[in-house]
Amino acid sequence: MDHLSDQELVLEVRNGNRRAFTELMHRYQKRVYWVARRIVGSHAAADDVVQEAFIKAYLGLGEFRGDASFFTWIYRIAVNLSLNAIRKGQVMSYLRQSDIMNMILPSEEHPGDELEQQESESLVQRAIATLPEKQKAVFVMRYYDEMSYDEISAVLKTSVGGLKANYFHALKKVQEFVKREI
Amino acid sequence: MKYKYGKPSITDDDEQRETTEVRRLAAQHGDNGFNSPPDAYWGNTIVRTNNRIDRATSGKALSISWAARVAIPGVVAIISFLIGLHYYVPEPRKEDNSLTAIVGMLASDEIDSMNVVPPDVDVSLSVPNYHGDVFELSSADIADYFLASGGVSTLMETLPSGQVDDLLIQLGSQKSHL
Repeated sequence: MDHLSDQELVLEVRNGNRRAFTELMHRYQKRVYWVARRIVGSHAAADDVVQEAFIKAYLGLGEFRGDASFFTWIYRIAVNLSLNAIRKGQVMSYLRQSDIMNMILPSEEHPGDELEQQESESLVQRAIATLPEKQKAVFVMRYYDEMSYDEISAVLKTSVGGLKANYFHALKKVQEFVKREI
Repeated sequence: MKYKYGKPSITDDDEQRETTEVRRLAAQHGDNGFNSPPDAYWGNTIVRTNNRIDRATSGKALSISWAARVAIPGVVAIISFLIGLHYYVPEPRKEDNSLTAIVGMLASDEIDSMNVVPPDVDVSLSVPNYHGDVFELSSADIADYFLASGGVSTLMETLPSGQVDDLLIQLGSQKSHL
């Protein structure tokens, strides 16, 4: 399966080949995880976004027209799910759930919990948490993933000019936050 | 390439410089971002996702999903429609189309003009070429009617005495023939 392109894998999945979809997950789960993690801030919430994104992609593969790449499509799904998670306040509920699990089970059974403890230590991440959701998404894609504006535009369906303004505004806010905290 | 963001315009170099500054400040603070999850996490996520896809695409899940999205709303819509149809009583038309109402809607000067100059009624379709009074009957018509209905005494009161005599003569000759 390694030698197949994304497009060929998508065709395989449409023909009922589940291994092809597993290969697509292998290829993109890390990037999907990181964009979600940086937007929602929590490992548990990001974990759920990753699963939801791939399930949604699998179930909606029939509607995938192929005018964008599979990566752009799954990335867009992940960004939208992450923003929805923030809106619904799921991040907070996941944190509470994690606290409960810590009390019930030993910490080595939940490696993700250690990650949760490290979350608050990331200064830039705390600055990102203060941004409006659109700026948050643009900042994560540009600052961490170093995506071009055209790529971000394909994901967020927004004009390049607007994205540039959003990113620069976010950049200044993050910079001010970090300077204040140091 | 330049674009406007308030005043003054910001270039790609400006953006690059600010980005570098944020990276420098973060590094100065020892901020390396989040730690990556353990390697086992990635394989585990794929297994869990595949399991959830299996559950989501199982027959039971599909039937529940189909019922929730299509069947139940459809049945509710049909039942609502039938109930609505059963209790539907068409409201009477609010406009009153009676002649009085229509005349009442006319302007007063129009009503006056109709009274002074009544509109010509074309009677040619029902009574062609009739210019007399339809209720004015000839005495012969009256006689025929009363004779046919047996009202001879009433006939005598209606007809002039000369015609009564003629009638009695005719009736006597008919009787002698019988």
